[in-house]
Amino acid sequence: MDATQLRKDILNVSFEAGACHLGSALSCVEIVLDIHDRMKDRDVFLFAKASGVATYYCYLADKGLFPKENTADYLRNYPLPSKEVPGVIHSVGSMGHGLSVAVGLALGDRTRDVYVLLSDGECQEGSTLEAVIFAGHHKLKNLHVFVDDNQLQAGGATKDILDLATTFEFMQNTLPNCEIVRTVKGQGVDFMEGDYCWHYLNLDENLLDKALQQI
Amino acid sequence: MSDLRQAFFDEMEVLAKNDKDVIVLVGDLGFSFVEGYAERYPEQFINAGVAEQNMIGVASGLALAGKKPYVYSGAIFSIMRPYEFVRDDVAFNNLDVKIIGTGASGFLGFTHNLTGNENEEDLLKNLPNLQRFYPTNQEELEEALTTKGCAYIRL
Repeated sequence: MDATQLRKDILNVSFEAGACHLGSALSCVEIVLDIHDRMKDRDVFLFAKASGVATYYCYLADKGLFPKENTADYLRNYPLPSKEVPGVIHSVGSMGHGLSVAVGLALGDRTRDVYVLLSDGECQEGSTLEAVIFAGHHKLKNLHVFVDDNQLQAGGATKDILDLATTFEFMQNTLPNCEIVRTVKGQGVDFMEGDYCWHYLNLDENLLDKALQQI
Repeated sequence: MSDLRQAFFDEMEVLAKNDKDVIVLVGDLGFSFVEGYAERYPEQFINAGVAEQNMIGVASGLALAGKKPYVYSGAIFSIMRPYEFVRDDVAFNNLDVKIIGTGASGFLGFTHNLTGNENEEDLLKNLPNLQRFYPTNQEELEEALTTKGCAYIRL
């Protein structure tokens, strides 16, 4: 699956489901594809950042975990990652939980790799930093942490709310494998790119057409 | 009978010996009770430090990986501080995590707590899946520790 097709699926499914978090979904497309390119058979992945799970559901549907026509229903019923959706291993709601769970997964079986995708916003959670300290101390080389650094959180620019520059340095210095991936919120759609409002806004039919023409 | 806290670590030695998937996590607590277990089963023991949300999250991940985690701390640190992790990761996801709390509402004896009526039972009673045990002797403790699925056990 390529990024173009995944973005189209995200837009169509989000419109059909009436789902928001579009900016967050579009910013992590390349990361989700990159992680899955690297994964071997027994490896596991946690979509910890919660917001923007349309990306992961569309990816799973494309991989044949469930029929594509069920994706919108899943997204409508489970707008945050839910293990009711085939392929999802752990349900996540609030931010700041996923890294700890991924750490436990990596510690419990060091013979496979554990991949986890965090949002930049959830690096403000104290629990995320607790998990970083723990993972560093236990030298979890099989834990691969990716941060979708789209620089916008629900209420505005991350640098204006709680700047994360030194936090990212701490994470990269402490975790065995941590990639802070600079992305663009709403990437691929000009009226969404860089606008924090698309954390919550929904598409209507006109906007969907306009968006799809740009992908 | 002896202190239930000692009985807990004694029983965990039996469980750990018979099952290599058993892991005890403590939140930097257990002084004078934990040492024997920690010395004899270092591969099945983790002091998770003063980071209780992470401790419950890690226990959940361990359970997802097929381990059998037992989390030990004061009730206020194993339930109240990381409550959302207990709710979301353990109870909602229905993972095989045992959470052990000591001291209940009396823990630390806050002098400003005039009513003394808040406790972990109030926080846990409406959660799905999570069983609750209040053992008063060795036999009840053993039953609680070997039950299937997620559970809270007050010592």
